[in-house]
Amino acid sequence: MIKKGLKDIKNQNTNLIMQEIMQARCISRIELAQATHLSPSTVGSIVSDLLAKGIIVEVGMQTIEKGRSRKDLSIASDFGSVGVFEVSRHGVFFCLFDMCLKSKFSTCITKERVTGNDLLQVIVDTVKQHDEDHILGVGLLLQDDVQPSDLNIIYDTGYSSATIRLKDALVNLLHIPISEETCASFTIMHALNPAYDEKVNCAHVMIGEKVFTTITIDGQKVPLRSTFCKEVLSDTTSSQEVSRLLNMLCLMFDIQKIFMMGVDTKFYQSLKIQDKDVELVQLYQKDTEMLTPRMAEIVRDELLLI
Amino acid sequence: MLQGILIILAFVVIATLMMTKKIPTLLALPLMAVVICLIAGVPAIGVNADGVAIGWLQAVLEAGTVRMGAAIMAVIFGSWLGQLMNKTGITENIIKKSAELGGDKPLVVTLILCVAVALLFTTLSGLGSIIMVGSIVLPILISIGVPALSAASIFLMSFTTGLTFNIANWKMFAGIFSLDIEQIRNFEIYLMVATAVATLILIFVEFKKNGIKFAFSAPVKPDVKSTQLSGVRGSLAMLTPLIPIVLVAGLKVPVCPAFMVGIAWALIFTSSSVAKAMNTLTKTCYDGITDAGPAIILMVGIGILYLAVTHPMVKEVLNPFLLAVTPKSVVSYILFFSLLAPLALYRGPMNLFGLGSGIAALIIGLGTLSPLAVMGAFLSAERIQGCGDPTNTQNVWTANFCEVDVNSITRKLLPYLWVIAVFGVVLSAVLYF
Repeated sequence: MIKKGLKDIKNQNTNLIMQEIMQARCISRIELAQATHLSPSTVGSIVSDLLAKGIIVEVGMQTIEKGRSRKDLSIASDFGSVGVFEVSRHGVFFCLFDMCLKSKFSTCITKERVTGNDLLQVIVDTVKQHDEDHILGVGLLLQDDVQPSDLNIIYDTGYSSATIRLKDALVNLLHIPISEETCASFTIMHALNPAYDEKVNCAHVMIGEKVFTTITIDGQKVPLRSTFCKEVLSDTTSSQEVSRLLNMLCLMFDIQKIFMMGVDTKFYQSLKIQDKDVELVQLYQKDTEMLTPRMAEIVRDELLLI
Repeated sequence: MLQGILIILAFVVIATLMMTKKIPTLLALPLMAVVICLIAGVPAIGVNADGVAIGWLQAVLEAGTVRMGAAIMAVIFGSWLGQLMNKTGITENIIKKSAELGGDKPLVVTLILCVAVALLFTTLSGLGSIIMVGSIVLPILISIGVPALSAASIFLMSFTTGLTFNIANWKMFAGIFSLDIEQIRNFEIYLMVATAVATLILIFVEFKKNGIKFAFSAPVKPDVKSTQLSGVRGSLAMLTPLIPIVLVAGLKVPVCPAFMVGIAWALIFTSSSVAKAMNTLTKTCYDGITDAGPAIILMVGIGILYLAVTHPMVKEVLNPFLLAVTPKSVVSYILFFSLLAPLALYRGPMNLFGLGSGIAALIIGLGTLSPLAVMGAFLSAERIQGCGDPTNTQNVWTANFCEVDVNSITRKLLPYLWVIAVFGVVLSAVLYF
C-alpha cells in the first residue's frame, strides 16, 4: 500500500497546475483554479513556489477583471533547455529547444554513421558545448535504421569492462534525464494520439519486411489474427495488393482514417481507396519537423512534472 | 631454478602490465599461460608416454577454453534469468514494494532495501543489473536523507552480501578449486553472515554519523512504463530469486536445471500470453548472453591459466619456489592470507577473477594446503574485491551515479571488508587447516 503524505498531495497538485500551464501556455490563477478544481489559496501557494523557483513567470499585460487585477502565467522559457538528438545511419542531428519549446538551435553534427562509444562521445561533447544553455534533459530519437547493437557502449574501467545501453551511459555521465524513442513507435503513438486529432476510427498499416496492421475503433484496439495480412496479401507488396488490403479493411471496419508508414510518396500516391469518405494519411518516419518538437515536449514535461 | 625465476618474472611483468591497464585481463591470462608453458619447456604439440596430449596448444589453450564450461553455462543461465527478472518487472517490483514496506522511517527503509538488494543479487549479475537496481535504490536512499557516499557504500555492501549466495559464482569457484558446490556453499554461508553483519554495522554507523532524521514517505516515482505485478501471480513472481537458491542449496538440484526452473517460474507468473512469453524468453536469452560476455571470456582465460599452472612440467619448475612461501602452520596461514587479502584489489594476485585463480591452482597443486583451506583463504579475499575494488564496473558506475569519488568508496568500505576477510581466514584455518 502506498502511503500518501502531505508532500505527495502537494506534488500531485503541483503536477496538475503544471500540466494546465503547459497545455494552455498562458493562463491566469483564477483559470488555473477553475481547471484544476483546487482552491484559489492552494493555487496561489503553489504558483508562488513555482515563481520563486523560476519555473514559471508572469507574462502579458496586467488586466483588470471584476475589480481584480490578473497576470497570466507561463513556463519560463529561460529556465533551461531541452536537447533532442535524432540518430540514424546517415548521421546525427541536434536540436535545442527552450522550455516553451521554441527552437533555439539546430544543426547536423555529423553526416556519417556513428555508433557505440563514438556516438556516446558525440552526444556528451555536444551537450557540454552547450553548457551555457543549461540543458536539463535530452531526448534520443532513433531512426528505424539504427540497430540495437549500434547503441551498445563498452563501459570500461581499464581493468574490467561491460556492455551497457547508450541511455544508461548518458545518464551516468551527464546526470540529467534521458528519454529514448524509436521514430516508428513514436510516430505511431503520436499519430494515433487523440490529443492530436479528434478520436477517429482508424487503421495503421506499416509496410516493411512484413506488413503490420492495427485497427482502432472507438479508442479501442481491435484484435486481429497475426496471420491477417499474410492471408490477404500475396508474397509481393505491390501497390495493387496493398490497395486491396486497404479496401478490405474499409469494408470490414467502420474506418475514417488510414495511416500509412514505410512507403515512399510515389507508392503512397498510387494507392486507390474506393470509399471516398476514408482519408489516407502518409506518416513520415523521417519528418524531423513533426517528431523532434514532440520529443522535446515529452522531455520537458518529464522534467517539469514531479 | 632459472626457469622458476623466469616464470616468476614473467608473472610479475604481465601482472604489472595488467594492473597498469596496458593489456586487458582477457589477454593477460592466456598470454601468461602461454609464456609460462614456453619457459617451462612445454612443447606446442606432444604426447606423453601414455599417449595423453601434453602440448600447450592442446592441453592448455584448447582444453583450457572449455575447462570452466560448467561455470560458463551457469553464468549464461543465471544471466538469462536475471534479464528475465529485469524485463518482466520482477526486479523493479521487489524494490518498490520493499520501499513501500519501510513506510516513513529512513532506517527501516534502508534495512529493507538492503535485504531486497542482497536477495536480488543472489540471482542477478552484470553491470546491466547493477544499473537496473541501483537506478531505483540509490535515489530512494538519497531522498530519505542518506548522504550520497553512504548510499553508494550501503548499496555496494548489500550487493556483495547477496553475491555470497550467487549460484553462478559458486559454480565458478567449484571449478577453480575443484571442489563440490556443497563445500563452497558451506563456507559461503559464514561469509554471508559476516558480510550481512558488517553491512548492518555500516548502516548504523553511517546513520549515527550523519544524524539522519528525515521521516517522510520514500518517494517512489510512478513510472508509466514499468510493469506492475499484483495479486497472487505477482507475489509468486517476486519469489523468483529464491527459486535457484532453494533448489541448489536446499534440494541439491544441479545449477543449470535450477536456473531453468527459475526461468519457467518467472515466465509462468508474469506472462499474459504464450506468444508474448516465447518472445520474452528468446529476447532475454540473447540479451543475457550479451550481458554475460565479459564474464565468459574471463572464465575462458581462467581455464587456460589454470591448466598452464597445473601442467606437470610447469609444476615441476614452480613447486620448489611455492614450497618456500606457502604457509605451513595455522598462525602463518592466518597471517599470510589476512595481510595479503587486499592484494585482491586492482586485479592483484589474490583476485579470483584474474591472477588469483592461477595462484590458487598452483597452491592446491603443491599439496601442502588442502583445497578447502585454499578455498577459504581466497574466498575471504574475494570479499574485499567484491565491492572494495575501485576498478570494478559496479563501483565506478555507482560512484558516477552518486557523483562521489570511486576511491572514497574503497576507503570507506576497506576496513569493514578487511575485517570480514580476516574473519574468513581465521574460520578457514579453524575448519580446514
